[in-house]
Amino acid sequence: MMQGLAYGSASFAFAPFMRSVQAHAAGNPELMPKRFVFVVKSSGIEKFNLVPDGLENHFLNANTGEKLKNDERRPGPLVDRSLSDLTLPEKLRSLEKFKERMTVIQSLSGKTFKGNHTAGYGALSCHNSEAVAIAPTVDCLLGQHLSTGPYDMFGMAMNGRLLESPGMKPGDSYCYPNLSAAKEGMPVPYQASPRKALVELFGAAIAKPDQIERKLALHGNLMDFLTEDAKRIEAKLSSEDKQRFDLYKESFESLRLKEAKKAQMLPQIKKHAPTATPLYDSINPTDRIASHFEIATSALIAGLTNVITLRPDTLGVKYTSLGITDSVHHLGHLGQNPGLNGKNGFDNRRMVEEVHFENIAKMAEQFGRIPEGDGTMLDNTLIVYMSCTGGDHHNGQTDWPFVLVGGMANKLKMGRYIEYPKYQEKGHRTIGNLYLSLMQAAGMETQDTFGQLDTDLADNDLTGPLHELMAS
Amino acid sequence: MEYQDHSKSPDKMRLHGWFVFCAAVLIVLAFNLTPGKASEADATGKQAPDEAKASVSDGSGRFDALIKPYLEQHCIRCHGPEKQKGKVALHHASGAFGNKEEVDQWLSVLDMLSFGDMPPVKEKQPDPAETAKVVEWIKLRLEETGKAEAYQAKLIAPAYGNYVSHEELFSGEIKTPPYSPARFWRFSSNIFEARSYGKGIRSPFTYVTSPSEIRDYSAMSGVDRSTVQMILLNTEQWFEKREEKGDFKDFSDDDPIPNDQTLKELIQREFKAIIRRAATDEETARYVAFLNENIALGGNLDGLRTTLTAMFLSPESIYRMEFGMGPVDEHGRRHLAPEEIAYALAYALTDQGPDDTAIIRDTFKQGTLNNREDVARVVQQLLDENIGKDTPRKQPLPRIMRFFDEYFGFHRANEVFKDNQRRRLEAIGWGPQGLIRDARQVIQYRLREDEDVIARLLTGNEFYIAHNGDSDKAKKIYEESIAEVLAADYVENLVTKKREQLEKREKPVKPEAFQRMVDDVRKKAEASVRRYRQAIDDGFKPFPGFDGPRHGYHIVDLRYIGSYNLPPHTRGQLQKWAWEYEQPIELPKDQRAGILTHPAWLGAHSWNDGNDPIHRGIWVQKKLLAGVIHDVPPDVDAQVPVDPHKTLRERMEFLRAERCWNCHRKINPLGEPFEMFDDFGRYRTHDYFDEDGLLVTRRDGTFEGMLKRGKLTKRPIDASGEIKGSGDPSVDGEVENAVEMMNRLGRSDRARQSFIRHLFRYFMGRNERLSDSITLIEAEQAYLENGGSFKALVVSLLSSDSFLYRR
Repeated sequence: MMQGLAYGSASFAFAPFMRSVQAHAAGNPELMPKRFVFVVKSSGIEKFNLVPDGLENHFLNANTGEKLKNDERRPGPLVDRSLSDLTLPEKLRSLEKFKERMTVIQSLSGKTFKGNHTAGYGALSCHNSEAVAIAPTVDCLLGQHLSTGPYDMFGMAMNGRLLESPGMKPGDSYCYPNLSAAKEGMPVPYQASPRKALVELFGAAIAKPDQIERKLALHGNLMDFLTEDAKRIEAKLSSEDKQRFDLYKESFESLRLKEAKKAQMLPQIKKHAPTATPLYDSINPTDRIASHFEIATSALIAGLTNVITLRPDTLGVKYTSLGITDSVHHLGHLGQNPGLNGKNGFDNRRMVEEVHFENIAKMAEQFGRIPEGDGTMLDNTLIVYMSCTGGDHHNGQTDWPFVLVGGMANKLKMGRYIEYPKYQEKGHRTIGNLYLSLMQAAGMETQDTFGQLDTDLADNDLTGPLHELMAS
Repeated sequence: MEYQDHSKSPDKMRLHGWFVFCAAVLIVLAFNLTPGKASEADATGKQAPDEAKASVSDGSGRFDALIKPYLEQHCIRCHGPEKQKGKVALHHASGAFGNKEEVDQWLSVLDMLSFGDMPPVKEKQPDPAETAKVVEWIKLRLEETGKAEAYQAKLIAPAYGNYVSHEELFSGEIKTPPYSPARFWRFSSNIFEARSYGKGIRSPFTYVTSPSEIRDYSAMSGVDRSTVQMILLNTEQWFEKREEKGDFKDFSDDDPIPNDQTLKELIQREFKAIIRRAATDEETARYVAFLNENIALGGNLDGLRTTLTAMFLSPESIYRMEFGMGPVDEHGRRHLAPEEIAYALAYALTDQGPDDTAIIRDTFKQGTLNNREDVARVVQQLLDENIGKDTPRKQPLPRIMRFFDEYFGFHRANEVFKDNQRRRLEAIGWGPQGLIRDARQVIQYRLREDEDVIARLLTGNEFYIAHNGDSDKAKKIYEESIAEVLAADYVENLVTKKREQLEKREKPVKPEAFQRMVDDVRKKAEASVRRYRQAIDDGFKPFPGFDGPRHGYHIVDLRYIGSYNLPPHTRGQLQKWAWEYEQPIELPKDQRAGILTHPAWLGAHSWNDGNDPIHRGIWVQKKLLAGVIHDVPPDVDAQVPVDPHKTLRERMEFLRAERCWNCHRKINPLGEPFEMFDDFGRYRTHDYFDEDGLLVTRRDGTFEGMLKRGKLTKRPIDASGEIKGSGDPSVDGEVENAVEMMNRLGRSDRARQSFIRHLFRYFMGRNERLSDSITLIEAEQAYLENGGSFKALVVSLLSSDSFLYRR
């Protein structure tokens, strides 16, 4: 019975690739599938070396050229410049060819979202709750709105803990990096192991036909057994309890549908499945990051989901392949002082971020090669690079940098450097406003504000999207 | 009661027959117990008066005759064609209850009239009998038009527990025999975690109830798609670990299909590990058949994986069930069967099934867990043996202390972030973890005393500070520590130990680093000696610290005690406070009175940048006065204006405007008395302003300097408030501050009864109904007759009809 369901009887209006084909035919970018990739690093993103050359750098002391401490950012008006007139800072050099398709945003705040070296769930939900999922996060909300594949959103992380003990190793299974929540009380687990992510997403492609059949048959048998099991109880429940029990029962049906969706997508899955290499089992952080990016790219192309969140590092990670033997945590404390490799903290942190940008560039290049509508997949895919703790290793939430790469069906202005006025200055904006921009660009209806509001910004406009970012 | 042992292991009897017994009796239940029977009562369990029912049979006719004149006389002037206060207009209202807007409007009228919130206090008040008729009419119209369901669904949430009239509940006039609805109840996260399925397996169960109320309600516990997905992920991980351990080595796909006996033994073993009871013969047969099917479909290992996944997802792994399978009484109530009692009691007091609590298990096995007396005896014994004896590593009845966490909410102090900058400026070593531990020790102490518990918890000024909760042990630790630190070779011993430790390292430590680390140890040890000697010279007992597993706590210094207005010190500083091993200690009576004046409670009910009088007031109104606060109207802008020249109380003055005050009059006068504390829990008497009239909150050296130079002016804190609605004229009335408020309210009948109502909710997993009146009154009597014994209260509730009967 299950096999029948899985292979044929489930019917969907359009599978993701069909939607894309239809939109393509119609030439209507509004109908294009839209996708997001959130890349959420730990330990903050350095702000001062994100400023394009030639612009006044408000994150450095005007006299000494030294990096200013948090909350000491120099005041200045809104900066909204085209990147085409500017030279990208060294850190962003791998994104040079995407200069017109990237936007750097600085000095948004999310000061009330606190935590121990991370705002945790707060970074994406705009709630002050590091370790407890008390509200849905923006990646999950976008996923719920956009995804037509079997996964609303898919996450991959180095591991679940942020502050690891010495001898940290990347995780080998599911973990909870405290970043994404589907709704209140429903944290989203991330997959740490690239190989397991590959099997989960593309298992059908790497399995032999008889293996797929076996898996589906077993899954069907399980669902049938559970449905029968549930019936034994159901008959005995009051009508109120039955309503609750229905949710449990219906979840089996939705699991059937998930498998059915995957079965229906088999040609796509096979076509776009990455090939597993020994890198997938490597515990070297840069290999792990590259594998996660590769799987994410393929999953989006295949239409398995429309939103992916990646957690490229945690505080215990040591980027030894870059010659860095201090942990990310230690690098955050070094500042101008030299690390074990002789380079100072800022240089080491820049090297780490450069690895992330290189992977982003590679991902963007791949999206840019896939035609979609009148352009490419990159026109409808936005990669959002950020940190879960803003613009510094500690307390960086008053200046929270973001680097956006790609596009969102021409709804967002790309090729810009936007720097908002300092916290509490007139014109200052928050990360909540950025998330509203992303959601609106993705075609979501939003409320005026997103998440908890900073009461210390009562004199600032906390409503609506970032006007400087919206194309219209 | 017959105990069936299907496990075939006579040496270890387990409670496993209950499920079969459940299934059998449920068939009978399905015929005899229909939900319709209960539906005659409204959500409060109260039967609708026949008179009211008859009188509204004409629907809108009744509206014209009774309701319309009432609205015109008492409502339309402010909510009519001329004025629409609060954007509410009632002049077009009809009795039709047609669309959602109309129903919502009537629901709002129902709330306002039910709790006397309208007409406003300054207006002429209607005759209560007339209001009662309007209330009954709205309720009946909701039922007649099929719109009552949403309203009743809302009322099952803990936040609406107080919607049941307190006066009626404790009037003694209601004689309905109490019972709880037959139900199934999803396991709590605590129960899941206590099962210890292994590292990395996280509970898939979460609450949807408000964090400021009792959390685990049966009717609000559910399992949806995302929960099932998380269970699947957990199962994958669990299976993988077991596989790595070699637990399924006979099940590789290369092996032949194991024989039936092996399969049977495996099913029985895993069933016990996953579902936590022995499988019945029927269950074993069903799972073995399923395993065989799966092996045929997918091979040995995947077949087994699929079968065990089914166990994890089976209803019994997820839900507990209480249907009432014992005898039926003359009121149609079904007593819990002994097996059900055993489970219900175990989960009421612990996070594990009855097999893990010897008293319950043994009583059940002896066949003496059948009735109210049996239950009372078992609960009494459990409490006598365990209550007040929690340690960090051992909480024999974890659900008892969890109640106090959930009721008071002080355990959330750690969730309120106080940023570093403020801590520096306000010169406070904020330590919420330590404060939470201290508060729990106060509760443990009161539970050990077991006298006048509720009033003492709410008014007592005896606190534990930086202590392990056991004065004898604390004394021993203190004496050992004195002997150790003051020994002549203390420093050299530590230094030698460090040297030896470093020399043993496989990778040699560089000489400079070696010396630095050794010097560091010497410096710290010398500082400890200095601190001890100085403390003794100053007439103090040197604080020994309670660190590491040996002491069970992690209290290394006294940096967090500033919240009690005591002088803090860190490990490297000299001690300034006379720490005592004999605790609790008395804090000034004019500064502290009960848990609500404990810094943990104050911190938990504060914002990251200041006090939160609103939520404190709501807490007192709901949890001590059993009062009702309505949902915040959608058009309310809850922002308190920012003005650096004003105190928080002054900034909240706008709430006294008529529009806000109708609700806030029930909140602010109860929350503002806590303005005698800052948001770190420190007692304070004055606010300070600088020469520009700006409020100065810093308390660091700069503040001291400004104060010395006369740059600051001070104004006394206004912490006045008012108790209203306690039902006792000697309690109601104005108060000077929170200490006076707690000393009056904390000893009141209303606070005691309100506490009992919350404890009822906690144990029953639902809101009380009017039909629980007898249970609540008996519980209060038991408490009072036993000198204010919490144990007596728990025994009474857990042996009550509400706990033992189902319908």
